[in-house]
This record gives sequence, structure tokens and C-alpha cells, in this order.
Amino acid sequence: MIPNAERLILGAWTALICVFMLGPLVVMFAISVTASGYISLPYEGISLRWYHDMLRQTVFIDAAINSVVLALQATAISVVLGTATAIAVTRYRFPGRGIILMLAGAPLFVPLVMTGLAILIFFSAIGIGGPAERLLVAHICLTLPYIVRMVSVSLAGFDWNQEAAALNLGASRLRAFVEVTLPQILPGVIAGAAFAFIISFDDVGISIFLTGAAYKTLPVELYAFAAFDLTPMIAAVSVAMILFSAAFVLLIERLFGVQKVLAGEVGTKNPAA
Amino acid sequence: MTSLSATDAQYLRLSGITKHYGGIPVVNDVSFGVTRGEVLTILGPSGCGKTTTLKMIAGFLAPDQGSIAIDDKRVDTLSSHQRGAAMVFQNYALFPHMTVRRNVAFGLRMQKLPAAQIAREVDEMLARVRLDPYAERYPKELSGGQQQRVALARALIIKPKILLLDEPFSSLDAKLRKQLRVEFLEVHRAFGITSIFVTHDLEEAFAISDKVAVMNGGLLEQIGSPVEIFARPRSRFVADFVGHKNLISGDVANGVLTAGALSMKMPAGTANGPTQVTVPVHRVRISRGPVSGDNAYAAAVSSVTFLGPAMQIGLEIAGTAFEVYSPSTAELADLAIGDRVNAAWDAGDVTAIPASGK
Ligand SMILES: Nc1ncnc2c1ncn2[C@@H]1O[C@H](COP(=O)(O)OP(=O)(O)OP(=O)(O)O)[C@@H](O)[C@H]1O
Ligand SMILES: [Mg+2]
Repeated sequence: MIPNAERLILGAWTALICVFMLGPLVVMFAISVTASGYISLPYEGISLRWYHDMLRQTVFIDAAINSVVLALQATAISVVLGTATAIAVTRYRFPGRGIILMLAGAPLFVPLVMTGLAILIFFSAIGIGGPAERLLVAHICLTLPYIVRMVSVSLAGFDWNQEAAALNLGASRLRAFVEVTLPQILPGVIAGAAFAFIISFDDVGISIFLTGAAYKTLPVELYAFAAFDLTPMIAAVSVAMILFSAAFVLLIERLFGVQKVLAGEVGTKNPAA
Repeated sequence: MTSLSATDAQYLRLSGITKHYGGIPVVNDVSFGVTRGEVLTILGPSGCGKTTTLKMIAGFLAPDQGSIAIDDKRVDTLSSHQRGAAMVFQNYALFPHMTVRRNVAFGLRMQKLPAAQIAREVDEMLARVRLDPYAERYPKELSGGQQQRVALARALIIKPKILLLDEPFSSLDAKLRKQLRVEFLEVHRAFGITSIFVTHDLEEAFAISDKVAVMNGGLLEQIGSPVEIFARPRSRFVADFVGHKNLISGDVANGVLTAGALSMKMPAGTANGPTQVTVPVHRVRISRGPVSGDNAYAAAVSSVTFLGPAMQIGLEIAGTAFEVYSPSTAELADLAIGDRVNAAWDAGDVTAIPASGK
């Protein structure tokens, strides 16, 4: 069907994407299983020593726990705030709506470094909260836009008379939301939450300003570690992070179906099912 | 119902209902009563405040002024579902993620009835509106007419005192609308319910209503039976809206109206002075031969439009343009522009429109 020239270009393009997207992952994996003491491809034999090493590094374990806890907290709070924001701005026209939309989207456009610095300065100035609290606030700012975006998209064209109908039939406001609105925007909420979690879990840009000696997230710890001690363990930790993210996406896939989440089909029905 | 009690005659009562948006009254001092068991239609052009009025009855909007009572109980401070008024929305607002059965069961589930009772009542309701074969389908797997019936069933199952319908057929084609009209009336009677039906379709309003309330610019212009509204419009707006074409302003003296070269006899007892009248389009008899009537004229045909069973004919009578609807008789089959005919109508068919009307 496709003419030869086009097929060739398409093939080359696909190959390039594979090389550039997947290449680094393959290299990273290869380095992580090297038996040698420095960053190199495993010519001298394959070993899991760097993974063993990694598990003995309590700093990484602590940082990983910090990261997971932080990502879960930030995601949970962002989901609630972001969903409420999305509903408010989609459903109602009110003074200040534009400003709220802008603020909710700002972290997407402002360089992370600036957001991080601003939050650091703000918290230092008012002098409350330790690194954990600062990071949580920062990560809520960081993840909120994704939730607002995804939920707004799934709310586009939503017939709000459905909620009125539910109230008319005797539902409370909460019941109307839970039974009528939420199931229909669930794909957006889940997709937004998945984005939020991964973005929070991966973030270096904002977090680097806000972590303290006693409280680091995994990506920041990794970054600091790489700055003075470049061993293949870095690769092992990276691979572990990638596997964790992949496992997370897989979990969402198993629970809801990523395809369906992205196509906006969760919660609405699947006639074949 | 053989005799109506005082409450039955005012089963739903709106008193001085007013609603403003941005300082502009979109519903302005509207008062009317609805008799138990009847269909009242709110009729009017787009933006005249029909939906706003319905939403205030349903409890989705609070009126700025006025009160609403259902069955002698003031309801305007109650929440929507406590009023006993169930709403059928313009685009049905069915829950797309629920089957027909779950949609219909929703109101009963909210009342926390036992599951077995809900199942039984839902089955009964589905059978009554002939939806039983579709119980496990989702709304998007139904035709427009079927979705409409689901919306009706979902509202009826909570046994409301009043059914509110906001242009329920407006997204359906003309043929289906007529069929659903009949179905709606059957359901309305079978359930012995009182219905408020909003539409901007004149024919629909006339076909289904016991009473029609005509609204314009937030004001209630006139309320009455379809025949009253059509034959005796009390304002210029209502006359225009229900299809009157021959609105003539003149002076009445001794029971005769004079407007330029035209003079016509008025109903007995018409007061003297400047008067606006309407000559209903369907009351004018025309023929090539002689026609009798209190007001008889020679007329020139200025336009002919064949509409099937009826013909729309433009006439010029004593320098005044008229438009009349006449049955498509054999005699008028070859009527052409420029033909001379005789036209006549009775004094009793001429209706004065009160000057206070716009
Ligand atoms: N939420 C609102 N804010 C501001 N103005 C409104 C609002 N809702 C309705 N209006 C205005 O109130 C007027 C009446 O609206 P309403 O929906 O009652 O009209 P309607 O008679 O139902 O018209 P249609 O036949 O088009 O449905 C319109 O001019 C409309 O623009
Ligand atoms: Mg409307």
C-alpha cells in the first residue's frame, strides 16, 4: 500500500525513535549488570553486585521510601484539589476563573528551578515547615496542572443536567457526584493521578532546592551521589526506578487499562463486557 | 374526578414569581394555577423564560420573589426532591454509565428501599412504558424515542405529584414527535399525573394541552384553553405567535370598525373608539360564487400557496391585505393570482385585542 520511499522513511524514523528512546535504557541496564568497578559495558562479566550494593545503601532505601510517600501524598491531595478546580472552571463562569486557570497551569510553563526557588524563599521567609512539608507543597503545585488538565478534558461536553436530575430524584450533592459525575470522569482522574504520581516520583528540578540533609527524595539522592561517586550502582538504582515506574503503569493497566484510560473509556461503558 | 376541590383547581400555584439575571428580569411577576390532572403547556419563543420558570418549580433555581405551592403546601423553600415535582430534561440527561434499569431505579435507590421492592417496581414501570426488552441496554444503545421513554420512566417511578417536561421532544423528528405526543398523553392519563410541559412548538402545545400559558420576555401574556388562546388572543403578541395574520387597527363607531376604505361589523357590544382587531385566518370563507356573512366583500387574489389539505391565500380587500386559510376544494383548485373572488366572515369571529396588549 505505502509507496517504497515512504516506507523507507517511516522505517528509518521508527528505528531512530527506538534507538533514542530505548537505547539509553538498554545501555543503562547493561551497565547495571557489569562486574567491573567502574562504569563500563559488561565485558568483564555479568554480575548483580551493584544491585546488592544498592540494597545495602540505606540512604537510597530511605530516599526511595521518602519519594513513594511524597508521591502518594502529593497525588492524593492534587487529585482532590485538581478535580474540584476542574469542575469549578468547567461548570461555572465566575470572576477570577481566568486567574485560577492560569495559576493551575503556571507550573507547566514556569521553569521548575524558579518554582523550586520561589517556594524555598517563601517558606524560609515565613519560617514554617521542614523539608517534607515544603516538598509536599511543591509537589502539589507540580502535579496539580496535570490533574486539572486531564479532568477538564474528561468533563468537556458533560451534561450537568445529569446532576440536577440526580438531585431531583433524591440524591444528596455528594451522592450525585459520587454516583453520577465521578464514574464518568474517572478516566481523567486516574490518568491525571498516574501522571501526577510519576512526575512527582521523578522530579529533580524543584526537589533539589527543598530537600535537606536529613530528607532527600530518590532522584535527588541519585543526583547527589552521581556528582561525586560515579559507580555502576547509579545505573542499578536507575533501572530500579524505571522498573518501579513501569510496574506502576502496569498496575494501572491491569486495574483500568491504560489504553482505555487514555481513550477516556473507563467508567463509561463497554457494551461487549 | 367528578368535582374539583379548591385545592385541586390550584394544585400547582405560582404567585408573583420573579427571577433576575444580571439585573434583568427573565421571569417577571408570573402567576398561574394548574388544575390537578391537567396538562399545562408553557409556550413562547426562545429566551422568554420557559426553562427558568420550570427550574424554579423543580427547585433548581430560587425565585427572587414570589411563592410556589404544590397541593396547598409552600414548596419554594424545599429542596428539589422534597417538592414532589419530577423533571424530564430537554436532552433527557440520562446517566450514560447506567443501564436502562439502573437509570429507572435511581430515584428508588435514593429512597433506600429494599432491593426486592426496587426490582419489582422497576420491572413494572419498564413494562408500562414498554421498555422491558431494553432493560439491560445503555442509553446510547437506544433510539431517541426510547431514551425519551427512559427519562419519563425515571421521573415517574418516584410517584411525583407533578411532572415537569422541558421540550422533551425537541431533538426528535417531526413524525416521532407526533407519535410520542400521543404516548405522552396516554402515560399522563394512566398515571393520573399533573404535567407542566414546555415547548415553543405551537402545534405541539395545542395538541396536548388542557391549558396553554403563553410567555413573552419573562411575562405571562395569556393563559387559557388552546381554543381560547387561538380564537381570543388577548394581546398582539399572542395573536402573532399563534398565527393570526390579519391584525387591523381602526375606529369603532356604532358597532362598525372603519380602517381606511375597509369597514366591518363588530360583535355586538363592542365599545366605540380606536380598536385593534384580528380576523382569524380560518374563519374567512371564500368562493368564486356568492358567499354569505355579516362582513362580505369582493376580493382580489394576490398569492396562492398550496399546502395539501388547505390553501394559504393572499387577498386584497378594500385596499387591505389579508391572509386566509381555506380548505383545498375543487372550486379553488385552479385559483390564480389576479382572480376575483368573494370573501365573507361573521361579526362574531372578529376579535378585539385589548389596547394594553403589546
Ligand atoms: N444562568 C444564566 N445566566 C444569565 N442569563 C441566563 C441564565 N439562564 C438563562 N438566562 C437568560 O434568561 C432568559 C430566559 O432563559 P430560558 O432558558 O428560561 O429561556 P427559554 O424560554 O427556556 O428558551 P429556549 O426556548 O431557548 O429554551 C434568556 O434570555 C437567557 O439568556
Ligand atoms: Mg429552554
